[in-house]
Amino acid sequence: MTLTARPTFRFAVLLISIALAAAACGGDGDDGGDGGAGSVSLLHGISGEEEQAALQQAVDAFEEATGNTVQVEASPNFETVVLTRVQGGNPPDVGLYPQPGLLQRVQDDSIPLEDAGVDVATLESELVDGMLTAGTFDDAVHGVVVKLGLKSLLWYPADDFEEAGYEVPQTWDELLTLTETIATDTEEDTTRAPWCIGIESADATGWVATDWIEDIMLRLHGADVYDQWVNHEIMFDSPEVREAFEELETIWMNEEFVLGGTTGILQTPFGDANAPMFQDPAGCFLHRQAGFIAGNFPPDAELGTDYDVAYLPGTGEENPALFAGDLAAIHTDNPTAVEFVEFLVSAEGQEAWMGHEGAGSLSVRTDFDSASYPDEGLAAQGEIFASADVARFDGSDQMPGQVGAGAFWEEVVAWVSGSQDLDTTLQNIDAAWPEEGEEQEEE
Amino acid sequence: MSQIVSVATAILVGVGGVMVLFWLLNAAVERLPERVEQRLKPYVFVGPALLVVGLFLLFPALDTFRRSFQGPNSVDFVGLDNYEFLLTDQSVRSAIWNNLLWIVFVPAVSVAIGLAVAVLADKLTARWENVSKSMIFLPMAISFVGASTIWLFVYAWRVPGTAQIGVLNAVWTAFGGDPIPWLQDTRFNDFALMFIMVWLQAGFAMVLLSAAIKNVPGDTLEAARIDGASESQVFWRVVLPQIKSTVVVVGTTILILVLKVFDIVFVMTNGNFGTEVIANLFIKQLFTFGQFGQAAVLVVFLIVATIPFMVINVRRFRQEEAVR
Repeated sequence: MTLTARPTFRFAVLLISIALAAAACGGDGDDGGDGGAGSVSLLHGISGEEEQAALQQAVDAFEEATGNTVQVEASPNFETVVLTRVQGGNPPDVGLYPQPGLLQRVQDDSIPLEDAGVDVATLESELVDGMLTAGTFDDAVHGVVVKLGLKSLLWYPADDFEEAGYEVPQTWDELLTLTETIATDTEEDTTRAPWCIGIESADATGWVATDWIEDIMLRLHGADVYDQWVNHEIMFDSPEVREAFEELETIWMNEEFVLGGTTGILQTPFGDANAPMFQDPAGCFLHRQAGFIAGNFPPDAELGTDYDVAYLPGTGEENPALFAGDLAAIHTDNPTAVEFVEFLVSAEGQEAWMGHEGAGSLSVRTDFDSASYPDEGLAAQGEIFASADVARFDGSDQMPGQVGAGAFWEEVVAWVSGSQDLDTTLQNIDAAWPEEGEEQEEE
Repeated sequence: MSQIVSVATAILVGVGGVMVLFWLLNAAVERLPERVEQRLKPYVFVGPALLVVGLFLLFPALDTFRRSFQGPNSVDFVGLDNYEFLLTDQSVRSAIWNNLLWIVFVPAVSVAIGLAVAVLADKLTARWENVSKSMIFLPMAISFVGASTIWLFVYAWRVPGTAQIGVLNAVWTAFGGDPIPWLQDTRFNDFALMFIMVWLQAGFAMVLLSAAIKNVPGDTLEAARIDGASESQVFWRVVLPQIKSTVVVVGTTILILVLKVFDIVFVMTNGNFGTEVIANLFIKQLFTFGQFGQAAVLVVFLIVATIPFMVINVRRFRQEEAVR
């Protein structure tokens, strides 16, 4: 490059930078809704094209039915984005929260549904019991579950089950008896056992265990005690919770009951744990996991022959269901937002959303027709869910992060690995619970 | 395609922008009287770099120190509460203990292996020296996360009686043993993790030590051999003392890296089964639990623990430079 050429080059660079800066400032205009019809912005963290397409179908139905417009924004980093926007005073009109705990952190910046104008009484009568409980803080309903995945499911290899003459257990006791029967039948073979359990999940190892404990808590003590436990009104180191852990122990810590024993539980990735069920002969006969796990089954496995799904039985007269899902919350004083949230849980909205083949979720409505689900598997789950008496949200998602995504996981893992006893485990989890006021609050 | 274009323009604008900045600053300084210009000129060129280092390194460090005295939101002042957590919390204690174990084991073994390879390869023909050194050096090119993922497959465990997909257990069961959960057994899981770091760092140690050994003057070796010293005596009494400062620099460099170890533990066990380390605990406190104060205090601890080794490192390096 010659000396004389330089200034021209520099000038070109300068021009390009100016042009770029201008372009960056250009777009991103404010498209706030001041048209004739109402407008509402929705922020959600639902990933996966198919699931988003399902949500879009519900959004389209809303726009068509009401003439309003919805600006949908998907964020793979939902937690960070929603916290930043809410704290920065720029919240979306409606947020879809995957965890009640996260919504609780921004509860001061969300308008209780009743105050916003949502007809909460109607929701209460039309939705499955428990859809409002998870989003209720300080006696105010901040969020309503709009779609859910059922966790209280028992998967089993249907053909091997029939061949061996086993019957689907109807009560918790029958489940334990069946476990013992299978254990005796498979005693000779170390590669076969009653249960397939795997809780390895990289940096979330242990969450499967918390689901088990929650399911057992609901079965042993019912929804009221469960709520007290989730809100830390009763400690982990209490007779009730201890009993649930001991119930878990009778299945998990018996080397005869679980494929690979406790090492198998700790070392097997949760998504792979079901694989032995599809071997021939079946490596295991019982697998407890949420509905999503069907997506991990071998592609050629068929419902009804290769596998089937049943309700994880209860202990008493009441049949509880454990679920996880997304909660809708309203952040701004916008009548269209109220209309939108009401539509999402309406019969029409749920039909459009859950009826889409990509949704892979269950409806929150009692009157939802299970024939509307896109496949047999979901329909079966839908019927199981519909026959449950009471439903509760995943408890660890409602506990503070230090417990629900920390101590609860880690201490159970340490306990199962045999490096500490139950007393220490329960006490350590209690100790990790943040004291009053220490809990994270958003300013 | 559009990504390539935007990356290209970003590089163009970035590099161009810096050029423009220096050109403008230089032009401005040149207009000043000559004496002032002479004085200011170095600062014009060093200044922006200092500013950037201060902004992105020094300021965050000081800010972290401030936050270590504040609560989970870095809003209210909580005095020494976080430091009490640092001293009393069970998980912190086990993390500090594990870090100590890493500090002792990893630099020592890395340097030992690096030294052994450097010395032995030195005695090979040039071609085989290059081949053997390349083999040891190769893992250096792999990221920590990548290496950990590879080693997950080495240590993998499957239900006894089924196909073992882990290399170690496949070999072990071939000889009739029961598969061993390498990452779960507290007797050796720490060492299983540390070995990954050794595998990654031995190459680095080898390259520097090999260069140092080749710099040892040949006449000192000849003199020793003429005096009847054995090969091991030549190594321990003649070669080693002359490369001591390199050994220390390599050792402390690896040590500082070890203090910050996070990726390996995060990927392999996430601190379960008694393998927690401070940096991983920090990530949990900050991102999972949202405890800014307790996260900050762990960082302050790490910074304070690193300083002595950095001082040793810099001093040694200067001594070495002075000798040359």
